[in-house]
Amino acid sequence: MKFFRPSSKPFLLAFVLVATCAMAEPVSDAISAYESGDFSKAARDFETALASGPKSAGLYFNLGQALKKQGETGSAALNFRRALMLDPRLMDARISLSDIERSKGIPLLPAGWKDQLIERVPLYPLLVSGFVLFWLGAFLWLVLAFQQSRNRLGLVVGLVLALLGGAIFTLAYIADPRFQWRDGAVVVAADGVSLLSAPAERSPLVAKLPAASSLRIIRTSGEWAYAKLGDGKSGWLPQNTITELLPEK
Amino acid sequence: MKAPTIPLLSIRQLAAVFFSAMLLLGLPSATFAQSVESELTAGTIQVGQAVELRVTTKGKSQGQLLDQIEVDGLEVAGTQKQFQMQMALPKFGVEVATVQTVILVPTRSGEFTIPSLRVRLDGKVYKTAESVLRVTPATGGRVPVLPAIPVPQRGTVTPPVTTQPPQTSQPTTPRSENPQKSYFGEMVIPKESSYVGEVVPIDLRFSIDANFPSQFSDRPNFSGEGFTVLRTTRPSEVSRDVNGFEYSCIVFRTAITAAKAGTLEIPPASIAARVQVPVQAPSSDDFFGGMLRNFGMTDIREIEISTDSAQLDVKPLPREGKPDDFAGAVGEFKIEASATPAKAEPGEPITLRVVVSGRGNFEAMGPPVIRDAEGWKVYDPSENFEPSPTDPVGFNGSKTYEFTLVARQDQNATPPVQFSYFDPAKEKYVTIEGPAVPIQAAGAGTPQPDATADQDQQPAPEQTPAPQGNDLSRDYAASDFQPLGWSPVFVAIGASLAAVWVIGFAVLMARKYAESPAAKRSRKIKSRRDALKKLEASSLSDGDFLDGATALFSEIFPHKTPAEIGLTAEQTENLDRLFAKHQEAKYSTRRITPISSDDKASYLKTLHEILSTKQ
Repeated sequence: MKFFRPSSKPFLLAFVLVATCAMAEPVSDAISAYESGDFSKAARDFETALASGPKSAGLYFNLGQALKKQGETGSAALNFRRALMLDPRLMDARISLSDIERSKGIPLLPAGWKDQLIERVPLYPLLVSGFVLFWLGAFLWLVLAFQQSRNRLGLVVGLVLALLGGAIFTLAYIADPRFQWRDGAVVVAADGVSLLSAPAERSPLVAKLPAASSLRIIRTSGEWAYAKLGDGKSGWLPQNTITELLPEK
Repeated sequence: MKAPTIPLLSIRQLAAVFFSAMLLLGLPSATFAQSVESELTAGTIQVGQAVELRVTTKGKSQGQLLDQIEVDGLEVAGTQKQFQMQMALPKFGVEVATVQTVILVPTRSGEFTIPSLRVRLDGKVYKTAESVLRVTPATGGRVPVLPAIPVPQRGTVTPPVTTQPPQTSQPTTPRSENPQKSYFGEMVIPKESSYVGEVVPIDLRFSIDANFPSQFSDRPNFSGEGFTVLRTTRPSEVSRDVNGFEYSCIVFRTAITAAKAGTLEIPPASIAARVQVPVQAPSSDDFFGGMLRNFGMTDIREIEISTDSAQLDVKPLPREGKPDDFAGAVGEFKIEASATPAKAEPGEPITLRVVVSGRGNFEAMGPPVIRDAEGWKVYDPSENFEPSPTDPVGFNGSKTYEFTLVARQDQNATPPVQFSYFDPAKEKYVTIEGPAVPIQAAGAGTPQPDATADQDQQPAPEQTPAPQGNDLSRDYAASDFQPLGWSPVFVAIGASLAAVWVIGFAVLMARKYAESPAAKRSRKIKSRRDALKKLEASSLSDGDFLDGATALFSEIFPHKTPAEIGLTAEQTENLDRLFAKHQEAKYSTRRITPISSDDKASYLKTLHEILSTKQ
């Protein structure tokens, strides 16, 4: 039995259109508000669009822009990072984030190989090419093996293709910011926060983190989170001063 | 008959009598040190600018300058003399300070030495020190030197308190129409026509009879419709000699920019001033009034001095030859560009500093245009205007635009900048270009459409502000925070391919195993066991049983006799009997005796034992 009968296609199309329009309305409202200088309303509408519709790097970037205009640099940086998680090559988000980090005096850390990879190579084609190469090599090897072929070169090529494809796929997977930053968070407290050596308010200070600082959460304990900075420092800070990059969490 | 009354003196009259008595008593015993000093109000000026040489004397009487300044290249534009008397305690005498000011205007550049001047003071002749004046060439837009004023008929200048309410005078004939005036204003415009947007310098001059000490307000009132007024300078004060009358004159310099074409009506400018005038005798008693005047008793009068209105013919900017990137600049400019840092990491901004300098309407013009900005993210520039130190009005100077650029691709130079303006002197549009600045900028990714990067193709001629929404993204492609490698498509396709591959691999392995000796042996054992099971079936005839049993033995031990395979005696005997029975059944012509069940059991037992131990 077919899931969709031919007569049900118009209903499916109508459903897609309604869903699209439902997201388009707050987005157009948000853009109008932004253009008229009402950044607070623009931010609310972009948040509505993100809550009611599919996530997109463009919407997170726009939300970041609206928040940045309001001076909410921590939340703006959070949304720019989310935009970069979804589209690591969204240069506008990278530039805006860089603007905020420079204005806050956050040191620019040298880009690692993962960041350089995703900046220079589109992630999705890289994943697909690795995927295709892996399975191409795997099936070439299998077929030749089935045929009890004495073509050793073919078997080696199949094996190499599979290994190469697997390596490319693995690299792309590891470099994917969705995977790489899955435990990331951003300081959203307007005045910044103190990174302490123990989960207690009067603990020795490890570092002073301005708003928009990014970090990785290693573990949590009550209202505290143990986090690690990009420069290797680690310490405790209150959970309510940071927001995790993954919005579903 | 009334007794004669002694008139009561007013306090002012009493004060005059008191000071007169003190002077008479004190003067004989007072002795003063004379001093003569001279100074220039500026050491370096431009051609056309005025400078004052002040000669100050102090003594019992007024000093008198005996020499005139005659230096080639310096014109004497006017002279002024002021003196002040003051009590000198404890000797109780009167000291007279005299300041004689000579206004000099250089007509050419160079270094001028003003020779020492002779001054007569208290019956002696003194000499001032020499002064050196450096004159640099005039930069553009200088305000013209005060124009010559026609000589009016000499007449009596009356104190302001006795004149009619002030009237504006013609700029070029301030006193000829009404020689009674003690003050007048002038508006000097160096040209009769201009272009829309062109900066036209204007001098506002306000003159008061030098005999009356005066004080002007800080700024004149000057505004109107159809033009904008640039900054007004701090006033410079000069002394002017008009028809033998000395005037104190303050000059404000400003400039206007016409906003529309047509005849521009420039309303009068005015300024408030306070004038010290001698007191008038309260009655016909001229004795005390004269005394009070002699002792400097004055009244303050507030007046307003206005210039005349003026007209300016404003021409529109020509449409022909108007560059696409023209953004309203009118004047004469040059452009320079520099960039920092010289090397930038991916995403690191580069500041492109573009300096537009010259003279023109800096306040109204738009920024230069960045050309060929593909591969760059260009942000709206910041701007900062620095007026020329010699032109505080603000139409000479430099405007610095700082563009923030971020490379989208690897770049080895900044994009070139271009600036178009209308030159009213040449009466045509001019486009100048700042070259690309070598830098090393690492970019990332492919170029994306950028609204701000297209400004060289669609400039904003009237400098309309860019809409706020330009810095928003319009790409709302749906995405997810799940890693791409775990996306349902990848998982579904990957799982299917993996299943197919695993099945294929399993089949391959099975086939490989089936072809192995162990598998073959296993199959043989199984077939023998099956054969043995068939022999155990009771439905078999004796002949078939014997055929099957001997065939099974021959398969296990081909071409061998039971004695050759190391069996027990009982087994050998059973097998021998089996083979003998089989030979009999096969070759005997008579009917063989049936095989007893015991014999069959013993044969099967032996075959079982052989199968379990010998294969």
